Amino acid sequence: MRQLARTVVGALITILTSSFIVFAALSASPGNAATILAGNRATAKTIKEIAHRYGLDRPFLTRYMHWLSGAVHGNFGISLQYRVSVASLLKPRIGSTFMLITMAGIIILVLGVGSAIVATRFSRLNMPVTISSGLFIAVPTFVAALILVELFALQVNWFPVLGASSGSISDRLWHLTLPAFALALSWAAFVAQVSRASLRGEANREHVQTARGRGLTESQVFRRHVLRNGAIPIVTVFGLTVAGLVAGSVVVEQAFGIDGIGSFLVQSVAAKDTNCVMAIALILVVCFVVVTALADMIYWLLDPRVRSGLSR
Amino acid sequence: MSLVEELVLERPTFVQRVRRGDPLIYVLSGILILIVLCALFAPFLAPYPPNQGNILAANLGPSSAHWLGTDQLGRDILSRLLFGARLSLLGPSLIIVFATTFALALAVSSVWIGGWFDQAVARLLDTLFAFPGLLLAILAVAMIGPGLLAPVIALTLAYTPYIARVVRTVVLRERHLAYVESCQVVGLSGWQICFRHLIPNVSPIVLAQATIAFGSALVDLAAISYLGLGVQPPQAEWGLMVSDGQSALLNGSPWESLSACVMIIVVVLTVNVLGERIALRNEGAA
Repeated sequence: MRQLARTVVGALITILTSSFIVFAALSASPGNAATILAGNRATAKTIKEIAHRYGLDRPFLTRYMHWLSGAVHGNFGISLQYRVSVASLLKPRIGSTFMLITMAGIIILVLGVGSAIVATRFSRLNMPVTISSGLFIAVPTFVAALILVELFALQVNWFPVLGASSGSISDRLWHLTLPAFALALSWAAFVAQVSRASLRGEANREHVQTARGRGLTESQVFRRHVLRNGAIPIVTVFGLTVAGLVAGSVVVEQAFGIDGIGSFLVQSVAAKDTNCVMAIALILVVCFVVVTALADMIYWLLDPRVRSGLSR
Repeated sequence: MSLVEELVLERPTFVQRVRRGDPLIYVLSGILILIVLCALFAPFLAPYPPNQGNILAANLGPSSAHWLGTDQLGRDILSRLLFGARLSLLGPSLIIVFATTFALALAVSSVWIGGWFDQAVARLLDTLFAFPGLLLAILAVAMIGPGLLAPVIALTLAYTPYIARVVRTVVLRERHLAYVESCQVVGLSGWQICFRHLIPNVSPIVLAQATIAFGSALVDLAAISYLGLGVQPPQAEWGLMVSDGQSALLNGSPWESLSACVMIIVVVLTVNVLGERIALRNEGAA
């Protein structure tokens, strides 16, 4: 219980600190918000009026508290670019990003952990898995995106070129297949390498030999003794992976023209729409912290040594 | 002082220890050196100036005049690839040099001083480690503006903990070896022990970690340029070339994007395997 409380408090502190850093860094950025809102031909007086109307002339800490309390209620102010509330811009976009990341996560689990299991069970497949994961880990997300488009959308017309779709769920999944694979590829290779190392290390341990000696079948030994113990580092790495996926989704969305919050972040940065940038940055930070905390907790559930405080 | 030097066994040089007779390390370093030479001598090697284009000869396939074809503005892709190597390699090099220096300083000082300082550094590194470098770089661009400066600063921050974590564990192990104590007994100062003995001894591991980090930094930086937030046109850079050639790729002439893709993959793959090899060779002997 104490462990749980410590994780939650730590996560909250990280979110608070990073929200402050995000706000401090971006509210001081060039292209003052009031100047952008006032438009090109604004006089100094109108800029001042607008700054006053949106509370931009108040002291820094007051503005931060105001922004943070708004953010907690899902109110991130108005977009400097579109003059509507940031929340109304983000809401329709979050769905696509969430679907993309979930699909990529599933692909990584299946391909990454799956290939590691196969490589450990069948030693003949060890070499091919090692080589292909070493190769795929070197392929950046945007490169994977272009190569997949060239191969599967242009050479053979299996998948659509662009990921934009507003149709039914199955149609959206169909459009998201290539992007999800592009996003998943190098991370799946990374997870495969870590899992393989962990499973192989576990497979050579004495308790596994004992289990075999007790006459358990090979699949029982693998499931109960190798996989269960070997899963602990995999979970830790998977938490890191999901955090990386959130960042990688920015690139994939841009590459496939998916209208998610990642491509919207790039668009907002280019347009100097600081309110949108701060909102998306905060959302992403919260995602990372929650994912990392969850991975911590699963780790804690899986490893009885950590639970009873024997190690650490 | 001189007594110590006379008594101590001859220490293998840095290069000797890094290689330790692995032929693959020679081959991979050779490939890297070749690419760096191409970047340095791009003006002499490139058949055309990188920004000279003939719009009437746009999106051509490979030919004897243009070995890799031309891009959408009719510029020679091979020339742009060679010139692009400069910015594509310079950015990650800067990041890794700064990040490795900071990481080494943090790791050695935190292990050496220990106590609350060590704890504070460990906590700081853990917090920084939680954030993907790519996102940090995008936020830095939002703050400072597009170009190489913002992402280089952000990625230096992001890669410092990445290198420092590994270096710290190695330094910690090294710190408790007998030779450090014997140096102290002989009366060497902390600075002397760190700079003359401890850092040279951990340097192959540091090099291995920095080499692998170089690949990731190159990918992150190319991604930033691909997003249009890093190196700006008409300058040549691989990430930018991938995005530049994307519309041509969709219209059936994939040469610009694919050749830049291949260069990125080749460099990252070389650097990854090289780093792993160096680490493997020096595992027991750090």
